[in-house]
Amino acid sequence: MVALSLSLMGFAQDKQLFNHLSIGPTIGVDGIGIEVATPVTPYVQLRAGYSIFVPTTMHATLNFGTYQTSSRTLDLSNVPVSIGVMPGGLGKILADIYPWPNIPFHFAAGLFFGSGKWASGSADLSKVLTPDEYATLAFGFNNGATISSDKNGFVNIDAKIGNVLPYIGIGFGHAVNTDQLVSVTFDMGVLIGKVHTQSYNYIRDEAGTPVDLNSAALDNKDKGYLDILHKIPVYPMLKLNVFFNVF
Amino acid sequence: MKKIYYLLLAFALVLPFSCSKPGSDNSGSDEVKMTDPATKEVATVITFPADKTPELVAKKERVRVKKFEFTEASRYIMTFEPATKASDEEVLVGTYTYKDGVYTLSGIGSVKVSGNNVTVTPASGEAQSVTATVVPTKTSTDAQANASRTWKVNTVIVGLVGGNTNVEKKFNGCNLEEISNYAKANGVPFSDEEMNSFKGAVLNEIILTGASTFILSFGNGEDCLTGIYSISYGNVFKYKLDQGNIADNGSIEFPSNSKCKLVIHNKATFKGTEYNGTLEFDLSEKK
Repeated sequence: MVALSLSLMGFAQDKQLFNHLSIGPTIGVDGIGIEVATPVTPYVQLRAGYSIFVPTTMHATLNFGTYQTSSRTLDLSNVPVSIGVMPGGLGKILADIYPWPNIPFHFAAGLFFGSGKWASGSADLSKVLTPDEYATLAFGFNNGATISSDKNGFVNIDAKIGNVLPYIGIGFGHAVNTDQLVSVTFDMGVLIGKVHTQSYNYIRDEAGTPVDLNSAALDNKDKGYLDILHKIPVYPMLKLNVFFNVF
Repeated sequence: MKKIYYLLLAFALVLPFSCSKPGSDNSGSDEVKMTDPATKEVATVITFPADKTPELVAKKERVRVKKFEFTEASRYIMTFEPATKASDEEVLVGTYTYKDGVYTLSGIGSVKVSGNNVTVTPASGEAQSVTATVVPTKTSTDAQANASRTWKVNTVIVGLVGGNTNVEKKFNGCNLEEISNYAKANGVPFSDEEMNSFKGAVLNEIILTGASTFILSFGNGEDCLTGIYSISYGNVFKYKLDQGNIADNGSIEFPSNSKCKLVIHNKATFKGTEYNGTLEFDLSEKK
């Protein structure tokens, strides 16, 4: 028992401020990335990294049906759409807190940094509208603000979220494990932040005037889903990480 | 000259995205204090007695002048009626210069003011001296001082909300022919006669004065919508046009020196549906 206690104490005491470094790839809800880890105390390890969702942009052709004006039917049955998830990627700083340093279970807390966009979509209406209508024609539902295409005929929608997102969760594994060359860790937690969706009106400003999209602005044609989405306070985060012991 | 409002109604016909997809901040800008316009110090309104109206030649006919307004920004606004026939009062807008108590009206003649004695000299003809009411114009607020000048229309956004319609369309300048062509191309059943009435109708200037005069001047100033305006707290712009008894409100702001954003609203009913029309002018000062 004495030997075991001394051994554990040695394991713990070996992890001192920045005296080790591990680095490795990650894969998870936030895409693929890379993280570096270093100990602070026997009970705390710091991780920092960057991840990006792949593919960075997804393309599809969607059918939005047709829209009827008094004299003109807009054919929206083949609208090319591109969507990017977490465009620009996410930076992160996390602290893993080991209540029992020799046991892989840990709590994790930290911050994710990003562009402030959870997702970004763009619908190509350049063949539906005439060029003289790009960034000059805006429309909306009865009581909502109006949106327009940009100067190239694209209608853009963003799901906005904070640039800095707190993270809390739990995990398993030691990112810095001097006993092995390679270690695998797992994270499960939530990012804290609310999404709000917005589109843009480019009539007054080439950069686009943000226009909040909610169920009321859409005359509830979304069946209230947007408002529900906007009320969700957290978003799940699952990650698998592989770390290589550098020193 | 209800052309603009007729076009608003036309948009109700043409642009409704009736089941369509899925849209400004008028924050105070009265802190901007613009440089004074060229003729601010000599801006004056001269009203002639009904029985002593001087005669001039305007629009190629002899007219009796009822009133001159000399604006802060080098424009005269002449209110007159034909001298040779019974006809409605008309308005002519043009440019003027001032020197030593004499206003020289481009192509019209000159007006010399000495107290209440006004001498009107036609471009070709004899001088006529009349005792008139002469009231120098003073702007009452900074916002009115900013507004009281001659404005060029850079762009106009025509907006319509009503029924199933919620649409805006932006045009460079304010060419009613271009706007009506767009409307017709999208289905507004304008007749040839109506289309002809829009031909060459370009809103060249919007004139606001310290005497609360509001002018929409088309072409060379011979075709005008005239009215009055006021600016109240919060940059609320209230206006009333003489033609068509059109009165409503809007907003006015001054993003920077020599720049103005003027928004005017008007309600219009078409085929039983009431529409809220908006004309949002992006304006630059005409020096």
